[in-house]
Amino acid sequence: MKRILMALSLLPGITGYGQQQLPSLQSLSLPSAPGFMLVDLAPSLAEMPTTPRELTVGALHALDAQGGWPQNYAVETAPYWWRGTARSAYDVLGIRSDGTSRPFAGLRLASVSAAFVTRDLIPDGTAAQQRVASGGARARLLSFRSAAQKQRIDSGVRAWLAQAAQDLSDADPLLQAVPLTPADLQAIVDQKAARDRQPGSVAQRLSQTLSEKPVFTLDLAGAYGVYGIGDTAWKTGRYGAWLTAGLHVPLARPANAGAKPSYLSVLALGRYLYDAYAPGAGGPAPSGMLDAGGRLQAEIGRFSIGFEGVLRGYTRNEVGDRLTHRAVGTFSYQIRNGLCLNGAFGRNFDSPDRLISLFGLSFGFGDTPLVLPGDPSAGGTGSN
Amino acid sequence: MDAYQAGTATDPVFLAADINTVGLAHTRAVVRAPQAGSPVIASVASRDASGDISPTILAAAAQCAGNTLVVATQISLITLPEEEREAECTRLSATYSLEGGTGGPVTYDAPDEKVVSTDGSTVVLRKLVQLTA
Repeated sequence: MKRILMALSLLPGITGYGQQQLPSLQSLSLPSAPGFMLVDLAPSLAEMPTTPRELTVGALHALDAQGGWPQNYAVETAPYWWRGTARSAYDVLGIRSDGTSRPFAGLRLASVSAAFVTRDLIPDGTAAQQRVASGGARARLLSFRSAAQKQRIDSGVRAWLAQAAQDLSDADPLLQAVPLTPADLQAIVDQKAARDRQPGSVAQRLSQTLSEKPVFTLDLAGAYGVYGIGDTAWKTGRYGAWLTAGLHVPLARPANAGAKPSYLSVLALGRYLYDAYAPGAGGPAPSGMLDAGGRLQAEIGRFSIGFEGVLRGYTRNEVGDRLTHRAVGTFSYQIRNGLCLNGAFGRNFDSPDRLISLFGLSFGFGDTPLVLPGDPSAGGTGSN
Repeated sequence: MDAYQAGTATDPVFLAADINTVGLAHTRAVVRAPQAGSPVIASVASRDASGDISPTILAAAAQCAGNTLVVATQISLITLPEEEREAECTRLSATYSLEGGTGGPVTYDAPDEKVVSTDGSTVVLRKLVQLTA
């Protein structure tokens, strides 16, 4: 089966009639690493240090290996993970030990990204490359759960604690004042893990509760990039900001444990991008672009359908329309783990015939289902 | 095995445990004779899912002397997506502090054993300290 999937994945995607330029469904979504996205960088290998020492060693190695300014060095990290102390489960659960909510808990998990590359980002007809440095940050500003969600999380945590207290009884081998062999210890731990994998176990019920989307989320990202012109001048190249607010209304709780819940989501999207060297009729010129819009999306089990509408205005522009818009309908059906059917149809901002269409099959390996851009369940913790 | 000089006085010996993890954690510490199945002389436990034990009276120094302190922590990483658990298994740590005995304040900056389940979802930490007179 795997060989069949591998062969099919090498085939080009099926495209609809009238397609000109495939739209990027993620082009307006909050970027996971704004420092990379600002300079059109998709690093083949981004370092994700978890300690200051790892960051320093990685940076020095990149500078040393490439003899000066790196050709392609990117790093993304969340300083929270560097802390040697004072980390607890309540930082990621979004509640306190007494069950009250912590709506700003996501700020602790803010991530930063930086890219140092050498490439030609100025469309001036010459092949000269610039040294580019870009930095960005992303954070979940707010996250609200309903009272029922908080109560389920608190109950689940208390149930887990009660179970753990039962485990660590006087007779438990872990609390015997004698050494245990590595094999014995491994068997004890694996037994606990096997119990937690059982459907309906305390751990599984809590895990399903934690996978529920918050009722409201607010995410912010920003990035700033500078270009090194020649050997001495550094000039602002690009900067941008992204803001996404999401309201997620559960339609129904799944009847079976492990089944996907259904949601109706309303997302408000905003983005501002400034490019000091945007292509223009008379050569590169500054241009600002403001996008504002929203998405309505319904997820019912394995099926997802949505509509996105965005208005775009140019604040300083020498080419193109001053006001344009995009309206795209999308759908997705998860046939099975690692196999999804996706489609999109609508109008893009400035494609030549203003018609986009995309119909294809996405192949992948693994258990995680397709997640549409902007979904708060995609990388919400930001750990690195 | 580390050792701590508790002494023979009636003064209390204090224990603190700082478990550094974003997984659900529960810690229990007991004092008992160094034989399998010996009765528990003293016991303290964490109160919430942080697994931390605030500085707490463990037992009188005289009660501790000649016995062994065993601290076990059970951690579940279901609070994290599967792809982030391996990194957390590497990051998580624990420190233990004893004071009040004739050995003065002592801090142990790592458990003796850290065992990760085969599926990476569960971790157990264990620390043994011989309590001497």
